[in-house]
Amino acid sequence: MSANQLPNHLDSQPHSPEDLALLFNIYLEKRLQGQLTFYESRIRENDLNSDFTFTLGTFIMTLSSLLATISASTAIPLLALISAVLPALSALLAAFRQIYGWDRQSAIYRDAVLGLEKIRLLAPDDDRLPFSDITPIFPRVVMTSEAVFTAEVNQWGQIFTASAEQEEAQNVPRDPLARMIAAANLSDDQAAAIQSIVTAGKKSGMDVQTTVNTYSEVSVEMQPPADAPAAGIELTAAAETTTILNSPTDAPPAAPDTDYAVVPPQESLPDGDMPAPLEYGAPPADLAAMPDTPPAEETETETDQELPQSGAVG
Amino acid sequence: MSVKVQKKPSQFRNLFFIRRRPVLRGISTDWERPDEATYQQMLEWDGFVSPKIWEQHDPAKHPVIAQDMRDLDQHLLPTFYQFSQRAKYYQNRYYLYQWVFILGAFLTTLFGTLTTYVYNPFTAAAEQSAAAAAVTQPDIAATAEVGDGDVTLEDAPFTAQAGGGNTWTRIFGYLTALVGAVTAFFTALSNRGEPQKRWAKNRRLTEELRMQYFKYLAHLPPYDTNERVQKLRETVIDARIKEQENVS
Repeated sequence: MSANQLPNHLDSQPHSPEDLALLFNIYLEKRLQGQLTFYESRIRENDLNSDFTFTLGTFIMTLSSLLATISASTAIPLLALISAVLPALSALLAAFRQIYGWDRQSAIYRDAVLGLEKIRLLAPDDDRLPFSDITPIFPRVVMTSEAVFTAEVNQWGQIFTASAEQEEAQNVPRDPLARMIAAANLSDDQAAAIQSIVTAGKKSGMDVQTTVNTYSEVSVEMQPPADAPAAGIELTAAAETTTILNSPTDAPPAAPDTDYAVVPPQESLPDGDMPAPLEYGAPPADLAAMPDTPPAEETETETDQELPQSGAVG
Repeated sequence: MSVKVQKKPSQFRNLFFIRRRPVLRGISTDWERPDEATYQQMLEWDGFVSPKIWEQHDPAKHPVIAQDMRDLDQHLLPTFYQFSQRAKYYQNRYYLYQWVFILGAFLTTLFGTLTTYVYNPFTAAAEQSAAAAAVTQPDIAATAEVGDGDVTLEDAPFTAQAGGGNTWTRIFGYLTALVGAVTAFFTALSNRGEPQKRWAKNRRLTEELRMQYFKYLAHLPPYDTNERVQKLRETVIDARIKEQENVS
């Protein structure tokens, strides 16, 4: 047999049952159990550090308050000095908590551990393993396990992109009612109905009617995908903006009730071309003088002027 | 029969400032293959299959696995360890900079507070008077240097004698400036190289290669063909290309 024939021969050779049994054991021991041990070790370490820094930080702040109180009554300068320095020490610990992110890492590792525990259910019990055909089981175990590891790695990478969390915080509507609606996981129709009721409390009945009608028109024109979760909310917002434009031009237009009323398509503005955000409730200068209802596209363009400063642009 | 209560082992060594503290030097960017015994230990430690497995199994009965292990050892593992080494390097650099920033902020606060604490306006006024008098009337200057009696040890512990408070003020001022300079230096360093981004990228690619390792052993897609070695080589090359993307 030549040197060239050997690899070709082996490349085309499938795994034997003995190979599969060995590979299955290798995978369970090296990959699954190894990763589980790693995750559990890291969870213990992270929990220890999280508890340690939190407890010590809390103790330091308590001590600082105590010393500040004592120094106020006894006029001992050294106590005032210590009570001034201790919060900085507590902030130091908080900064370490922030950069290491022990709690978030532990949560990710716990998810991965639970996922792997579920995957272990795919494998037969140890006593029954010798009598089981692992040919169909082995690929499933490998693929599902690797999917769990991929998810863990992806989540781990997101720890560093703190902007995701920041963006999420920035995208939370400022209006309390809007926050409640957003948190309630209502359907689009329910959210629109609530918005209509709220609008009815602020405007005349005619305005409400206009709002509902306009909502229907816009929804027909835009035809949002059925599975788009926020589409209804955006449409409601567009309807409200249209309602504003239907108001008499001499009266100041009402502000949108929701902050998500101004969520634009990301391509709507070029980079560096962001207009300054308007005052809440103030009419856009060029809108106030506009007598007629513009087409829906123009309405959307105008609402873009109140873009939140999150990652929507740039 | 008494049951002995199992005590929890000390976890002191797992505290972050002992176990995870960054080092100034000692971590190389590049990986060099160690001697064979150390390399086998590394494989075991990293959860790979080392040739030690053939101490319990006959390689002649598993020629495909033996061949796959050689392929992986030749094509995938060097890149894996290269990425892993770089991930460790950039991780260390990232944490080093962060530690410098955090400790710099703390020390700046500490020294600033101490500067305010030891600053004694009466001593400062006396020194200014002495300096002014030294120019015009040397006799008065000698009197002003010892102070006017308002400064006591209880009021200012660091000022054992007239002028001491301002000495400490200067010292803490210099220390504050030094800490600020060091922090600024590391800030400039950290802006170059993006250690956090590179750490994340290298670690992600490392874990991706680890996944490919086990997929290759299992002959799962895309390694379920006769050209799986070629696929493996392409995967490794792709990973190397990804690693170089957006690197400034």
